[in-house]
Amino acid sequence: MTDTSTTHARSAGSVGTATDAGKIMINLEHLGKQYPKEPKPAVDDLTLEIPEGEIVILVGPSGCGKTTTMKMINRIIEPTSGRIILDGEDVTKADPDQLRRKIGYVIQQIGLFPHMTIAQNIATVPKLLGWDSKRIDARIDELLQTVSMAPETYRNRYPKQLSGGQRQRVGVARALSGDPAVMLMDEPFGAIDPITRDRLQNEFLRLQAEVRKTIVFVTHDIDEAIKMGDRIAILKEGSRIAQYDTPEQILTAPADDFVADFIGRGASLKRLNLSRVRDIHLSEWPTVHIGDDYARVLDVLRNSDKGFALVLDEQRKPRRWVSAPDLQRGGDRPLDQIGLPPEAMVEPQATLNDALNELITANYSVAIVVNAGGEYQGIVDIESINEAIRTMRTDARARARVGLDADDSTAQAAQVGR
Amino acid sequence: MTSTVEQAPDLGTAPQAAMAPVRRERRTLGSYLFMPVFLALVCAGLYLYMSNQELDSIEQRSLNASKIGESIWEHVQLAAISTIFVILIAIPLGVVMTRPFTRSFRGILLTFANIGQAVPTIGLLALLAVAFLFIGFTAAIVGLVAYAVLPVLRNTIVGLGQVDENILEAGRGMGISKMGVLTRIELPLSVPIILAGVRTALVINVGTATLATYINAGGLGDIIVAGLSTNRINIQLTGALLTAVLALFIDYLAGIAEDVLRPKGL
Repeated sequence: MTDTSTTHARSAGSVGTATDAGKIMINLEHLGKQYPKEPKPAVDDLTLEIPEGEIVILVGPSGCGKTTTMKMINRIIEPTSGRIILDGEDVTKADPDQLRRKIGYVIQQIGLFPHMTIAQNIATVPKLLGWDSKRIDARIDELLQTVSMAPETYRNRYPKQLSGGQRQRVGVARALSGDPAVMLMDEPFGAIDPITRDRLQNEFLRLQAEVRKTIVFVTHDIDEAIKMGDRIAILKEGSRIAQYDTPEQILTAPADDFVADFIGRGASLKRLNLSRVRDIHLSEWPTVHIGDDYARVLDVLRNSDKGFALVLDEQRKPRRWVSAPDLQRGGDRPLDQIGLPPEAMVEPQATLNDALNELITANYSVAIVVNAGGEYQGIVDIESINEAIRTMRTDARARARVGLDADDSTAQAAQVGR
Repeated sequence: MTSTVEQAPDLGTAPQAAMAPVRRERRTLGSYLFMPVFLALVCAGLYLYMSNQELDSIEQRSLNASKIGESIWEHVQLAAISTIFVILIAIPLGVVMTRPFTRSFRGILLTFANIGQAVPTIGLLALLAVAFLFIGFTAAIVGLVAYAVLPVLRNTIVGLGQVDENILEAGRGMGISKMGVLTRIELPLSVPIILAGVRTALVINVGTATLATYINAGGLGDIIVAGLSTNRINIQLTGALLTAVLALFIDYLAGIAEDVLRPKGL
């Protein structure tokens, strides 16, 4: 994850290499796009290596050529110079229709076909690839489940009957339908409200952990880039690479002022997007079983410094928050009918930023961590977040001082030697 | 399902992807029945009125079942065949004119289509008859087609032009061929607008087909002109009313066709 070579624009064009990566899936070699009658090329001699199974983010100010670069990979825009190597094969001159069937494509406006059902939309590429109808039907159901939409409910609906978030999911499902090794995504979550966007991003990361596609992802939002990217290419005008590196490296060691400016302030808060709930130590919280009597709950509350206990059911799923006053008012109602419903639940792969957002808006200022099956794992509170930020700061400072400390020790060594 | 587990419903605030420009509520059964019932009443009224009149021999020659039936059939043929030719000419032409390679001569083609509609049909028919000695059914079809091409052509161009660019890009980006994008995305999404043009052409053709009588091509114009030349008001009235009833009825059928053929989901 770390020692990626940082690259700067050179006179011979800009080069982004991924030295630590495994197999390179997409190789852009001296790629250029010069529109007629334009004084400067939109993409100027770009060389970029995109490793297999990673999400590579192209990010930069508007007009920097990031979308043009992405669209040259599936040749929606034809490059005027350079080569595109996909999985070892030069596709610069290949039949574009055949090429595109092997590359998933998601655009911001999604572009679902309004006159086709969700199933027909998803079936488009499998049909082009000549799959038989049985296999296509199975694939539709599988993909709808993958993007958390019940097949029997949504299969025969039309796009206009879906919400924006659901359309985006169908867009992703459609892009995955032909099981492409490579996906291109052009600001896929750009037109979605912030709350839904967060959920879709998390869902997508979870999906990517399963499918491990090579993804080229364009955005203008550095926060999204840090959250989604395994590797980020920060681009200047003409698609020149300012820095091509992992999010950690970009946040800790921006290559130049342009990158530092682009990251903007709050690098440590941004780093919360890099750490996940599973990476930190979860705090304990008093819990009781749903069948326990009030006396037992009071006992638990008395023995802890917290004001509330979490009620778990037989499957260890959180059911309710209860406090002593709730118990007094409760009469003889069962535990799951008093107190407050649990909220702010996050899964281990959620980022600390997600957890922070959740716990700030929650009644008791804690986020409950549950696994994929909904079982209680522990909680994240503001202290855990604080602790994480402190650790990251210390690490960053240590890394920033690497040179200094080394200099110190040589200096000391020199003095000792004298 | 999500890593942030919350039960908030999806907030569908993304901008609506290209919606069809014409959206109409499903019509009720009553509105479907109104027009045919009304037209049947008009015909019945006309029949009752005429059967109570003393018809002279001239009137009897025009106003009998076989002559009227024959005229109506000729009229329907004129309108239907000319509309079919209009569709066959205008829709492919509209498709060609929206492809990038025709950009340079698009204007010239549209000018020709405009001339077709600007010249009155009666003038065109007279021109065909006098200058080319071209008369009869075929000549009438030529005149009608020239007049009715423009609405279909224009609506085809507009219909194809209003399809959301993003939908086309998504289609191309998935590897659908240019022809596939045209036939499976662009044309289906333009159907409502193209059909509106066809409906206009059909109504124009039913109306203008009355002129076909002047070049011996038959139709309900025969009855109207017979009434005019013999100064028989009953014959004129019958011819005019039947033409109007036929035009309204065909428009009604075209309306149903529009409802049925509009792609679902729009």
